[in-house]
Amino acid sequence: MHVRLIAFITVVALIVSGSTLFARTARGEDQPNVITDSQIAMIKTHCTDLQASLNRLHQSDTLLRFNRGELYRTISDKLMVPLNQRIASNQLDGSTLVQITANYNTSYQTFFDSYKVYEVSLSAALSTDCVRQPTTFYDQVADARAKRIALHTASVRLVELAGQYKKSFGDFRKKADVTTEATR
Amino acid sequence: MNEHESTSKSRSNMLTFFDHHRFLFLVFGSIIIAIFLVFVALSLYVSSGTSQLDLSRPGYQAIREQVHEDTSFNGFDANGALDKNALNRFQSLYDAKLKEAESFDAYGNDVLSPESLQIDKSSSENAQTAQ
Repeated sequence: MHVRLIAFITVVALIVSGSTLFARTARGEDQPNVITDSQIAMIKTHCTDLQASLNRLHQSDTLLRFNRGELYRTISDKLMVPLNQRIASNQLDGSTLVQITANYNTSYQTFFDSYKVYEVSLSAALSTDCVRQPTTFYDQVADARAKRIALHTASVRLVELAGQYKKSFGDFRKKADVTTEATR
Repeated sequence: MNEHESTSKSRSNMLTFFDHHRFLFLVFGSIIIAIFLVFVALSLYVSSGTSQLDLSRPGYQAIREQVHEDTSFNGFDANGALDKNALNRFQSLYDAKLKEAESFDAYGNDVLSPESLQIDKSSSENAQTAQ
């Protein structure tokens, strides 16, 4: 009886652990950034250069974030929103433009948050001692890279929406011109 | 009766102790409140993302000098009639800013890739072969 019970528990445990392992592998969790011994040696040798490169990137990305943030906010606060208000105060239909502005502001928040997490990740990579912890450093850089790609996507989305607004403004303008002509 | 007397005595002793050290209590109380408020302020500073954009931090001297805030750009006026002139003005302002945004692919270069940092497998193998 006991032997059967032990065999049953063993089979259940094997099934559970096997399925968990399969699920993790399917999600890609068991596929970390594989780093070779020669890469570890390379990181250790060029640690100072790598840290200097990351430091320069950190500084230039901060400046870029400052300038881009200002530009993206200017487009919304000083151009899109005032035009939407003016359209509304002239009792015209600017619903498409308002919708794009709302999407733009949501995307700006995504851009803002993406930069925040990217900066934290890059700072973590910068503070990692690449001579003592080359593997951790490699993983931190990989993480910062993934977050920088997400930041780029958010930036591209903002420019796309700004382009969409221009197109919708063109359509609105055509309609407004037609209305003015018809009134005459 | 005796118990009551001793309780009132200890209470008066405590009051006397508080009265005697009023100034110390005031100083330490102020310090504790100040530390708490600084902790709250720093938590907000970090969690809101302001810390990441704060160019007044040490080590950002070079960046501060490169920042050019465009204060001359007033934008489009939210009030007034929406005639042809206003639409033309908006279009020229908007086109200029959009062109500026499209002129540069921000964060588009993959500078953190192992290849760019020269820590990829082929670079390290080549370096080992050279040695």
